Amino acid sequence: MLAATGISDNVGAMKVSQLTALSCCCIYTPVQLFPMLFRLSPTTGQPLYLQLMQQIRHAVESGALRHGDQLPGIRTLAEELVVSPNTVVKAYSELEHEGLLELRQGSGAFVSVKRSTRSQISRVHEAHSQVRKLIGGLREMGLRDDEIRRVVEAELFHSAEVMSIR
Amino acid sequence: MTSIPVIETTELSKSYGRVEAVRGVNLSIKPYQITAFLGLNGAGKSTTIKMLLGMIRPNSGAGQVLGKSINDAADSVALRRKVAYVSENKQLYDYMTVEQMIRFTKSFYPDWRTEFERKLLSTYELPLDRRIKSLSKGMRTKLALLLAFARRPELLILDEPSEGLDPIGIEQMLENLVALCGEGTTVFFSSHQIPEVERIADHVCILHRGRLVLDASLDDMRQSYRQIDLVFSTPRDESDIRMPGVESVRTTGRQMRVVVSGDAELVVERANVLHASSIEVVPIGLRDIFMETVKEI
Repeated sequence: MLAATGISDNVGAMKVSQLTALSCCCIYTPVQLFPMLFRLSPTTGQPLYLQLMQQIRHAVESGALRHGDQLPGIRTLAEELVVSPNTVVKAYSELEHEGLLELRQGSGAFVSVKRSTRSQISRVHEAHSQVRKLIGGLREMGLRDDEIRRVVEAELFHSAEVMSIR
Repeated sequence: MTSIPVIETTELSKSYGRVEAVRGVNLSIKPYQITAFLGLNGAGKSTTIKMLLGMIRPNSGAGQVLGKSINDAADSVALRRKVAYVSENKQLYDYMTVEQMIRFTKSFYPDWRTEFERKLLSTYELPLDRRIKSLSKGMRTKLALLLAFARRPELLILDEPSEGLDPIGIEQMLENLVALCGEGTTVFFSSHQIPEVERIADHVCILHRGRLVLDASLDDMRQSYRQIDLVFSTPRDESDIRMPGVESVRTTGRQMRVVVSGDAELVVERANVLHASSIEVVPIGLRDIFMETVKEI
């Protein structure tokens, strides 16, 4: 399975990464070197590959990862996170399927941000700032965070039900 | 890519006198994965492993490891060249030094990876000139692991590999296992350390009183196992909530704790019909799943 995906290790990244802490992982780009944390929690009710996918997606949405940036090879990332390589294989190939990663034979995984994704990213950015404003307003009204969360969830749930009835 | 099971057994059984150590175990271990083998002390894990390696003969049932029959003596010899095994008691020659033991083992395996051996020697900080009989338990384990890892085996079978290792030693061992798996080695290991299993395993098999009671991928378990806490205004009977997918039900007064392995929604629906005043669905970790699975009824 690993051979089929053909992602070789980034040897340079490996050497630098050994200097960093055991439990966290860093991503290196060829040009810029910035450590970014992936944290996989084995005890939450979500498969590890889904957690990794979400965190890579989030890194792209937040701009921490940009078009053309290189991710560590499967084995390197698996060793750093101390998870099964199959977890990384699954996350990378699902993200490739989504079009967010490009897996190149023998040279690694590269972030690929398409134009449609870019506008999605800016929409997510906009949503973030609107939600931030809204929450600020609700807190000023004296609502606690768990109350706000309940209201939001109820509204999402309600609108989803209305949609499914339609 | 083949996905022919690396280990496959059918109704594998072993008794010692009247004690049935292993009872009709059907294993099917996928290649290129890390599979953890869990169970309480005396559940039959070591007996199963020894049968896979041809060290113990089963009373009934059959098995294949890497396509070779575990009952065939000639096959068994060929098999041991491809399978690396670290036993529970980490068998080594006590009169040898660490260096002699490595040189001795190396001579049997043409694929020996000297570079990896050196790397492991320095991470494990093993003293080359020390006699094995004067090594600490952790050091012995590390040496046994080194001898198995440096062979680059197709299949690695480990019986409680982290026993006696300190936290750093465990972390190094887990990293090595992940690295070997990344290079194409299939890993099958027994363990009592649920946190480490939860981190690196793709698949989990739980043995209880000689029977295989759970055989699932960790992804599936994370996805589908849930604990549902219910509160009723009047006490309810456990049978009210029993349905397919419900693994266990515990009742205390008006509260009920249900563990499901399947569709939590169905249980929630039933709880609504029963007028539960509170329904809470939370994910459940491997430790709790393990405890529920091996709980005496």
